[in-house]
Amino acid sequence: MNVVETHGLTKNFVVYERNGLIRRTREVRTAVADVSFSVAAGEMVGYVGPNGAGKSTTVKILTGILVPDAGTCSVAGFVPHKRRLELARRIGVVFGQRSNLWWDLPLIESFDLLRHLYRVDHQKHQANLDECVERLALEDVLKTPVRQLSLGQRMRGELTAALLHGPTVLFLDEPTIGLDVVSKAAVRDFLADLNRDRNTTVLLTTHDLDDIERLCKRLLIIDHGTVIYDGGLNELRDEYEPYRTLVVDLVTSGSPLAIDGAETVKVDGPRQWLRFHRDRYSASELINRVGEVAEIRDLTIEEPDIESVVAKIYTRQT
Amino acid sequence: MSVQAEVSASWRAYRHLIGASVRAQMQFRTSLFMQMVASCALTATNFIEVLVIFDHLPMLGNWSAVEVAFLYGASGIGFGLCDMAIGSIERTGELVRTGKFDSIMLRPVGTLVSIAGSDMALRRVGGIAQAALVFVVASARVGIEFNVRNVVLIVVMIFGGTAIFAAVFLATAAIQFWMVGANEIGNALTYGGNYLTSFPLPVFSGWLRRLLAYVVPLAFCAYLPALAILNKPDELGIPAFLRYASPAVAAIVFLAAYGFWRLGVRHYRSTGS
Repeated sequence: MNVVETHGLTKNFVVYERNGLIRRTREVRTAVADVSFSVAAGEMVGYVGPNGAGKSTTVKILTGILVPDAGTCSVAGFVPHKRRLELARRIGVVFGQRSNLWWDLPLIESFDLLRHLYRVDHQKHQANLDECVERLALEDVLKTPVRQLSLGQRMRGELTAALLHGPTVLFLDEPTIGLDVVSKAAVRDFLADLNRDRNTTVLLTTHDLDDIERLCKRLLIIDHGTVIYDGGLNELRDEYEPYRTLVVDLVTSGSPLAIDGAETVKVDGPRQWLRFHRDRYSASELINRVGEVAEIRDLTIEEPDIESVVAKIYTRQT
Repeated sequence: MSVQAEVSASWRAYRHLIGASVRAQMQFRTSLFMQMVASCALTATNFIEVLVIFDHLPMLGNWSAVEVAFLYGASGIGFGLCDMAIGSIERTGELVRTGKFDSIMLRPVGTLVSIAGSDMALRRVGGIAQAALVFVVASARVGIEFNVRNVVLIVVMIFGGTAIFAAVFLATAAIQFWMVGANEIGNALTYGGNYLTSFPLPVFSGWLRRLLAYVVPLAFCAYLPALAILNKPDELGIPAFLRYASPAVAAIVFLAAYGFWRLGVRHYRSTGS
């Protein structure tokens, strides 16, 4: 069953450009053009694209904030902008740059207030709260006013706030923005567990491709308002960046190796980097060939990082 | 969900929200106390202004100073209650400009309830107390009989005034979905409107009278119902039944303003990210 479905979703914005003090010209800009995709229950999908590509606009349409100009969409069985209040009870939303918490109140009071606004049964609320507090290590800051929390603590609070009513779909817009390495890891682990244990569907918008690599099997790439890639992360790598790199540490430094089927792209003392096509040669084949001409002390195989793959796609588009 | 269930759910949500807002303000008690004193002083200056005018003109139209104080008190209480209950919707333009309105739309609660409940202006208690004091003293001095009819009319006048002011607040907040900087126009209509309603309608020139009686119906907040309570003749030839029409007028303008607000929410465009 598909939890999120869109067909030909389109949204235009009218912008006024100022020329001179009073005169301005009206221009229609398309933020999202003909976007169609679906997300099945329990899937965790990464939604990426450069700034201004239309990611946030899509999420805002799917959460009922914006009314689309054309196309249809449904989330958890509802047309978002028509049934916003009912939808709100079934989705959780975290915008990295906005807060759903009450600034001047202790964290626990925000949670309590949300229970009343979402009309969540007391036991269910307590169970969800206990679980989040334990997994996100929030125990010590529950009584602290939100304004005094660190960014990492606040973000963990936001996640909890979005999950207390047990949503079936979770929309995350840059949930790790500005977080340190430890906080990022904590948030990612938590999301992975959530998806596994509760089968919560997650649509994750981010610029941090480590988030995607760590969490999502599937990736949607949007640019200039249209979806330009929809598929698995591994397939994306195969299609756009079929080369892997074998890094060998030789016993002695020497001139670049000349191995059939690989290109020596870099030499640093005894360490050499050999680039090869993943479909044409296997790594073991290559290692054998290197072994024939030089003595190997140690080796690793580097996969292309997703960041450079995606960068390649963005530039190919323009 | 039936309309009744929806209203009661909204009311519960509103109560919880203002509860939170009160608790948040109680974190800064001294500041809150100072704001209450300031609010009281501010409305008191308005009243002194009215008194000064009467010092020079003993009668304003056919209205004595005590009668005007009665009007002032009634309009002040009505406005103060409204401002305290939903005054925070004047921040709508700011929420729209910064995109914070997004968060409001993600809650399973109506947008109006969510914003109105976000910041209950406790400081207005000061202004309301001042207006109430004036109203009680003026009522005692103006020589009205406290029978059932008059007590009902007074309650209807005050809450009708609250609802009409609320409609004005709501409509001016709704404009801000199209014109982000419109809250100054809003203030002119809300705070300015409150100032106007503390004077009897005949003191204004013709076009302003018609505006206040029939367009932005602030005359129904205090002047018209006060005629009925004080049993005064009307010099303007406004149909007599309109003296009792405050609740109906309040209901109509509030629903109209609410419809306008809904239209505004649909128009909301959020911000870039």
